[in-house]
Amino acid sequence: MAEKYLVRLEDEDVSFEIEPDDGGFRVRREGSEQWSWARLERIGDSNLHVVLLDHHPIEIYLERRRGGVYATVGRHIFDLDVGPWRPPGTRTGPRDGTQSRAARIIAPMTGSIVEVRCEPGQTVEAGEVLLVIESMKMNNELRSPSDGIVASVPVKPGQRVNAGDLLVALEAGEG
Amino acid sequence: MFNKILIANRGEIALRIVRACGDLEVPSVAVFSDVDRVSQHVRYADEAYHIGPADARLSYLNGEKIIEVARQCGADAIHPGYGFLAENADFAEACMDAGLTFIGPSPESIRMLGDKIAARELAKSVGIPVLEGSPEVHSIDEAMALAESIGYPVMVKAAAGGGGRGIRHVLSPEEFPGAAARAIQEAQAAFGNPAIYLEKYLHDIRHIEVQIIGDQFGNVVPIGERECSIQRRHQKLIEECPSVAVTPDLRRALGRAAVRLARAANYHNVGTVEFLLTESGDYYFLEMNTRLQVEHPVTEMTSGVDLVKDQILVASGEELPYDEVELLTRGWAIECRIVAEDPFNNFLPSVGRVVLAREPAGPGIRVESALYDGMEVTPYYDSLLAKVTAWGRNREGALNRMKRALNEFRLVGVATNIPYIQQVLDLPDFREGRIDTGFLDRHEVKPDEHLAELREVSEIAALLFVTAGDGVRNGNGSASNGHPGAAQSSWREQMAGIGSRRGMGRWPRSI
Repeated sequence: MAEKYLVRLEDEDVSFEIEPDDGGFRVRREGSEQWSWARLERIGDSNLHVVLLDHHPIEIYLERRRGGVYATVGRHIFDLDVGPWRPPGTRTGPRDGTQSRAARIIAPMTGSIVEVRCEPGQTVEAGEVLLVIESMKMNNELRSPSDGIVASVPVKPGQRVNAGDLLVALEAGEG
Repeated sequence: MFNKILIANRGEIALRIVRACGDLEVPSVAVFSDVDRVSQHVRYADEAYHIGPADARLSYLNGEKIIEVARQCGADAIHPGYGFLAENADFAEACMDAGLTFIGPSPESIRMLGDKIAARELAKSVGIPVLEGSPEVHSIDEAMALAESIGYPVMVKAAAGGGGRGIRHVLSPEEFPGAAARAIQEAQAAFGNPAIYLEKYLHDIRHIEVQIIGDQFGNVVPIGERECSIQRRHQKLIEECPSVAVTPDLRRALGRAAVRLARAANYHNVGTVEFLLTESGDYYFLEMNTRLQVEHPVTEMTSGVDLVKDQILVASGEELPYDEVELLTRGWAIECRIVAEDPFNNFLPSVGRVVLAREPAGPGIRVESALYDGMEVTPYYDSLLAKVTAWGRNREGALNRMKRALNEFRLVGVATNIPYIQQVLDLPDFREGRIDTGFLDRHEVKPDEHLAELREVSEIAALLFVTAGDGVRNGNGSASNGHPGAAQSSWREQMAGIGSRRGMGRWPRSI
């Protein structure tokens, strides 16, 4: 009899059925008719694993954390919770779904501000360059993720910033 | 030959030079900053000395300190690699004054060719075509008047430039003041010299460069061309040797021109003469780089020459061991630069820890890198992680090997441009060799098509990992419980048919 689990990724719960089968596991994802066969092997003492999924070997880097796993495959890092299955009503739903109408442009890396091309009160369009930040000897343009009005720019040219620092706060424009 | 060579650089090129020293059986000395204490160039060298903090200005650019270390450790030569002090004439001179050999051309040659405007004049004087351009200018108004007379579009370049910095492509007078201001600012920041100059901009051109090497007896030999048209923001991304656009006649003409320029500059050691090549086969001198080039492996793969070893030989006063007629090139080589930049996020640099690095190998593949598991990619230095070079009997063979190699490359922890390079290698125009310097601007990054599949793989892997590891399942199918042997023995390959619901090839094989 298959056991049921919930895998949560980015506020989305997906239930899986899983049962031992022929040295591996049969796995069925919620909403799928068919079962997949999968087995996970660890490579030596590293966190590198190979998952043999329907006979396709895929290398994946898995790091355990409390209640789940960080999985790196390709260029993607997935932060996954894994827990026993619960009926949908009792699950914690996605975090407040209403989109915040403000946007924050955060320093994507440590570097120094070369140029600030916006000022508070200015109306900007999605894709417009707001700042230029230098890191690894390269100037990188940071663009506005959406249309809006610049609420604040707490940095100045020449200033060193750390990854995660707030560079520009945006408010949604009219309408 | 030298008693001991100090390597004034870091990363893959420092390691490359350590290896050349090993081939010559000359002891190598590494220098390192705070953040490079356990770097590969340090661990593989015969001796290593700390020279300062992460900030390159206080370590890898600190010529005085480096010369002091060289004298104390008994080194009699300094190899600058590329970047940092490689094209610094004052440093080359300081080495000489300290009784050390600078492995590179003379300070006079570096100075003459490093001044981009003087280099143009020199090229003109030996009959090499140059693009219409301006002298050095310091004000935007002055520059704008000159741009009018040259005619748009124009390139604005840093007079002390190199490495693609401080370059702006300007289409119209409206754009000019802003672009020129930015070029001046970038030139000041990068080279400490705000002077700029202008050059006519040509469409549909290739960037072709000629490798040369000269000894101190006046022998100068060209070692073929490199095709470097695949550039993003003036940074080379893919280089080839030879070029599909260069006929034997053109190769001879470019080689002769490069040698004439080198002779006029009294040049010895390795150097690269860069040209622009139009569709109709006209070529124009661009600049000469007075150092070893990042993309030197493609020349080495096709010519069999070891440029780093040979530049050490000629610097030590030996005669070139070959002349042009003895050099035979064979096959085709392609190099891709793997950098820590996220192609799906506007190519922003990606810093962090490389938790896992497994480089490709196999027939025809050469990897130059200083990667290791646990390496920190810091914001202090350039973002180059590795250079993958593939050799094949012909271009198609080299390309196919490159695609295979990039599929094999495993890098976990930082984003890289590998998926983007894979897209470029698959473009029909690239496969056909129809490329020019605007190629990458016309081919934007396509969205990542494998996200949904990779997400599902990671869900299943996480499920197996957690359930087996927590002892929820008995784990006889999973090695995560620490008994890989048991798991292996239960393996039976009779599952064909089950679950091949989407057919072979569904799961992307790259990590």
